[in-house]
Amino acid sequence: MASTLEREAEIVRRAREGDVEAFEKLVGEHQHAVYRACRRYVDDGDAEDAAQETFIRLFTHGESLDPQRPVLPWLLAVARRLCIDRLRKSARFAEETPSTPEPADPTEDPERGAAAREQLVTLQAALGELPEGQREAMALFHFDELSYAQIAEVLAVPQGTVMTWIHRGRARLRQIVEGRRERTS
Amino acid sequence: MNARASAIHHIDGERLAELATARAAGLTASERDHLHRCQSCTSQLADELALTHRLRAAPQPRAPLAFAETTRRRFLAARRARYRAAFMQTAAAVALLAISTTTLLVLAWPHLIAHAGVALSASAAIMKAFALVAVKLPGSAMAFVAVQAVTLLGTTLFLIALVRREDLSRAAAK
Repeated sequence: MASTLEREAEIVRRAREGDVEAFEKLVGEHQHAVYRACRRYVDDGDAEDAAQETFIRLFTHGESLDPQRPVLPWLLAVARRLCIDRLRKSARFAEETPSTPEPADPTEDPERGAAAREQLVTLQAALGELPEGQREAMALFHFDELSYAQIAEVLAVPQGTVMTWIHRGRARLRQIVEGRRERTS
Repeated sequence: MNARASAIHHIDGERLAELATARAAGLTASERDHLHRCQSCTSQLADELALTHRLRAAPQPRAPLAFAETTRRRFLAARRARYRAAFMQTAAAVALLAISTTTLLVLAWPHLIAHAGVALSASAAIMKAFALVAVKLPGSAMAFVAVQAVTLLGTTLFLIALVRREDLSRAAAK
């Protein structure tokens, strides 16, 4: 019985050869992760375009993809490069403030919903205050559930750096969240 | 009890964070033992777990509803462009092959009528292989022209070598 990785490699191979069904499967599987990665760099419209371009790159420039490894880190690395290129081209790189995920809809219970929403807003704002490397590593680790090795591949840094960024990112996040709580109380 | 525990080795903060994200192997026996005795590490681990939980609960942006459909349309357009490029490359390869073969035959007719078939076959085989590769891996037009030029040069050299050999054979016979 084929492993998940083998199945994915087969889908990727077919998609690269022009099989629409395989391509759709791949998009369905990874669209949210790729879009999310783009949103960390650019606005809505640009993120959608960059995420779509990322999938097209798999078809047009997929030679560098190793079939023995999962495709998501490759997609995220391409998405990141495309977004950075866009930011550079539009000369906004220096002034760009990091985008943070949109807050959740309130839950059914208004009181609990408000508290949860406030907590999330605090957390998201705190994430936005982290340095770029830490923020990116934290997001890939916690939201996209990539391993240290895969994050190292996406961000093109050594694995040790990723581990340090995540550790420092978590520590810094706790400090920021606690600091905010103290200021509000 | 806690004083004694803190005098021993606390669990490293990085390790506690790993344990809280469930990415590392489970607790070792000594770590479990330490956590039973050390309030500080237990509370730190609880903090790490709470942070992980909050991070995982944070809502994330999702791709728009029409994302997959738009991506599919772009994919189809890219695929059409690839097929068109492959067709153009193959057509150009065939045209170049015809031109090069005709030129060589005209130039070398007196000496090479016997060898022309060999040269043509070799040239055609190379072009066929190239056309197959071009369909699989469409490269740039410049790369295609470069490969074609090399093929043409190779065929020319091959024919020159045959002429030379024939001349030398005649000279030796005389």
